[in-house]
Amino acid sequence: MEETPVRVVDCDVHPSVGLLSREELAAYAPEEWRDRFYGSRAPKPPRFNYYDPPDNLHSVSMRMDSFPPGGGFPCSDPDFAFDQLIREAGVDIGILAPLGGDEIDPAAESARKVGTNNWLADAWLDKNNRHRRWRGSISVTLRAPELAAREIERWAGHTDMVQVLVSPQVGSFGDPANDPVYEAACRHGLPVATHLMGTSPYERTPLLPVGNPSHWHDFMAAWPLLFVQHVMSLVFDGTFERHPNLRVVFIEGGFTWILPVMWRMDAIWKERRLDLPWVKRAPSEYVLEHVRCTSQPMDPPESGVAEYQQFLTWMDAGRLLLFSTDYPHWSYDDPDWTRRQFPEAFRERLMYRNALDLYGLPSTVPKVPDASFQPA
Amino acid sequence: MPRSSPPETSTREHRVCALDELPPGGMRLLPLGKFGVGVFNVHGQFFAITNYCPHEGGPLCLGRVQGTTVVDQEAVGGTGYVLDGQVIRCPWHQWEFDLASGRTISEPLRRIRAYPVRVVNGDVMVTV
Repeated sequence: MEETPVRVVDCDVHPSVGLLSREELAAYAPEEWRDRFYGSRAPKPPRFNYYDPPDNLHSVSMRMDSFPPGGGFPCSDPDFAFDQLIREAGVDIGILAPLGGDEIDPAAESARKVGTNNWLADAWLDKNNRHRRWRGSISVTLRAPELAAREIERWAGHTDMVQVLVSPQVGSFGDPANDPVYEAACRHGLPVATHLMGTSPYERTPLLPVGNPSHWHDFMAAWPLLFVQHVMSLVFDGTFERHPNLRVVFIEGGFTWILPVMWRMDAIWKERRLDLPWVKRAPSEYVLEHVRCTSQPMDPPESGVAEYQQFLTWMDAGRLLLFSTDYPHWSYDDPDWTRRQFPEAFRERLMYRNALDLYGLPSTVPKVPDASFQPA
Repeated sequence: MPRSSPPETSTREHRVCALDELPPGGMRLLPLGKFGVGVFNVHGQFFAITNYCPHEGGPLCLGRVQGTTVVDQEAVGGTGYVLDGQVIRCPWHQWEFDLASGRTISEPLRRIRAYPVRVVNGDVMVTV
């Protein structure tokens, strides 16, 4: 088959189970949990949707044109997602990050993630990936590190599982209790990625340092605070010294915050470095080597474009960033548009090179025909 | 390139459909121009816009057509609903455009390309 060079890697795509019946979902879940999750008497704790974009009653925070024509939820039909994201938008490889599955009980959460992995591998990577355009995430929870490590081992041999995905609504990432997860990930060269799990039980919703936010707007704008604490903990708790091959990807939390975080960590470290002898290098060096952020969502200033580009150069954005669309969510960023928002010198690394290096992806994929214009 | 067709070299009038095939509230998308052109019937008046959102390039004509909300101290809750059936929302990020003027509701300096439409002998015609 004719090959085409990879020019766009999308590091944030959200597949959904769509129209699967309870029986079909149960078949993916660990046997001892099937009745509790999907049986006729299964408890149904409320899952809140905190997102409030315009027309949300209809859009449920999705791109309105991403609902599959055959029914079901956006990005539940691998063929339609392939048409829309790969053939129309021009993404060459999409990294699938299933969301949800957070529970109050860590054992239940772990079991949910096992079911998610069984489904993702079966429905997307094994049956619908002949075009080689999808890669998957091994979902695990840091709240049950030993189970998580075992789950990573279970999937590490699957060639299309390219990262580990954890919820950020947990204790500090740098806690040594998480080490078994990082050891397993590093043993198999898998980056550990994290993405807010939006429809979580209330108890798993991240609170702000000052308590509950008043609006969805505070919640979204404050999302990076969650990631700031994890970055600091990974650096100051010495996680990157204990796991020199660990790479951590912060998905959809923005990225402009990371430069001031690096400055502040460096300043404190310089003043009091002897307190933390295991932190051997300047914190910013650990960040630039071990941490990656995705491009979406962007929050560039309305004016001062030249200064903003200087800011991006300062934070070494060409090294830190991975392109992402967030398909099929309403905050979707188009590849052609995103590319134009960055200085020429960053574009290749941002759009695909950083991701090829990080995930060890092939530099070419089988060619598929571009979508031609189809009048409705 | 995705989402494109050969560029039109000159302007000319195209038949959209018969008048009764485009009832009020309806839309016809034609493979014209670089991104396609959507022709809308808004309460019996016809408008045509390009199928391209000036924000990130979304397929604008595939959005929902409704009204929009405005501050209105007289209305219940201080929110009024205006321009019903005349405001299209981009399916990607829900930017709102007034079909009649081609202007965005939220950022009136960003506008979309609009095309003249007329009815000739029972046919809807658009000039692109």
